[in-house]
Amino acid sequence: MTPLEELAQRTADGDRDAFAEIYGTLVDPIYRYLYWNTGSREDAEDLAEEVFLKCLVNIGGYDAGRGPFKAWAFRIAHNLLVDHQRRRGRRGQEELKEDLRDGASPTPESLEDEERARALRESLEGLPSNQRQVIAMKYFADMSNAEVAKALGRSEGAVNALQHRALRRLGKMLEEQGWK
Amino acid sequence: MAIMRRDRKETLEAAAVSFLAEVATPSASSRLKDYGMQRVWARAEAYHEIKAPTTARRAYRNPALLRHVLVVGLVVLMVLLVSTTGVYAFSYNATPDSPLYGTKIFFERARVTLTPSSVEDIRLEMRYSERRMEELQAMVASGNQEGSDRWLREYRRNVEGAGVLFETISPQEAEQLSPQFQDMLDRHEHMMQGMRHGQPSGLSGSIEGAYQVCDGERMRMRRRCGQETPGDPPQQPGEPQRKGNCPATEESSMQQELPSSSGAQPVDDSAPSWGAYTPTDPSQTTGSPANGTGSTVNETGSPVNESGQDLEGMGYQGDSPHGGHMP
Repeated sequence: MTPLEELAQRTADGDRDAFAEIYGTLVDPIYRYLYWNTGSREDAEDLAEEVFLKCLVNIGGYDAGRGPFKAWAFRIAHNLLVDHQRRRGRRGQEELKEDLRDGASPTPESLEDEERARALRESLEGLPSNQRQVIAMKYFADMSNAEVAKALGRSEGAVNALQHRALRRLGKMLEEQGWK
Repeated sequence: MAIMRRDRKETLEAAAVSFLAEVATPSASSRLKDYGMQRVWARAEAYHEIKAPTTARRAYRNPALLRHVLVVGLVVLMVLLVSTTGVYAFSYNATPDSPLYGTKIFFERARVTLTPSSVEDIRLEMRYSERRMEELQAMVASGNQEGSDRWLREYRRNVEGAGVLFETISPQEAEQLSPQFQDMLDRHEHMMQGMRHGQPSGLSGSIEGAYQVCDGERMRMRRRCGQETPGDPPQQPGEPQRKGNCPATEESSMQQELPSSSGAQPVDDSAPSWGAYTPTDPSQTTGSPANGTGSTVNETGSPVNESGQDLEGMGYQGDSPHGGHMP
């Protein structure tokens, strides 16, 4: 059993420190995954908090034999993200664009970083949702293909194919924007 | 061309990967990183506090859920009801050699168990004894002796069960039921007399056993009711009722005074087998005359006991389509 699974067991027994360790380990990957999928820091933070709340409330139902805890937590994040995007879709594209313009402004350390982040955000917007999620999990949440597959409920082969297609498409879009 | 295309794909992928590695994600605010955990923990505690009552009220608040639960419950109930009724209906006419005979007996035992009144239990046991006789008639008619041991076991349970239940009812109730019970035993003995000959050995043995059960129970009933049996010393005038909860009936008193009025043979209690039975007039006697309590039929064909009481008029109706008599 890896440390995260042990911590999950202790958390289910009511150990607050164990949950604090889980939170400290996963808060950044989950936030980054949500950020690059929503394009909004505020939305990503709100959703991340909801993800941890759901994890904590349902941690008694987590079964270590069915997969790693990280994949389980990202599965919750993925479901919440889908719900969020569905709500956004109902509210309309105009409002979504407005949110992106207002809330998606990161705080880069340099102008080039800001330009890179904007280019990537725009390119990710051009990717299908499933490819975007694979990229976000693989390159911003540092997950293995097996973990991504568990979190998205797909096979590892399907995740691998999605990853290659997404990278090629991303590379092409970045190239078109003048990034080498 | 293909190689070039593959190289191009690999180049694009490599470019994308290196680009992704260089992009910095804006860090989360301290609201999430430093205070998020405490907030989540507090919300989870509040959630758990309100979760139980919310769940309990959910069914009442949510008409769709309530309807769903009701529909599922009704369907389960209907399936149970239909399957139980179907099994009962199929097993109703099962004979002892049938696989459904056990089910039939099960329903009978269940009904006896669920009936709270001992008087009703006696009536049920008597009704089921009549059913056993119909089963015996069917077995005799077909010459099928399969399951005859089981049949004897069930017949014994019905007859002896009714006899035991007489101990638990009041003397008034016993007085009312005892003539019916004794009359039933008489009829059964008489019917078994007629069916005995020419049967396979297994079936013949079962009939013999049932006859002895019948005879033994009839003797016990007579003793319980204070009626004389050949093994007992004669009851002295003014002597209190000997035993049992069944007071001496008018019928038994008349019997003591006029033991030979019905023209019955004396009882040989030590040999209850039918070998001792020689009916005087089978066409007119429905009970066993061997004990002097046999009932007869009146001019209209209704069975009457020795005091002339109309047994059918006393409310006793057998299950048999022939009114409990051999056709």
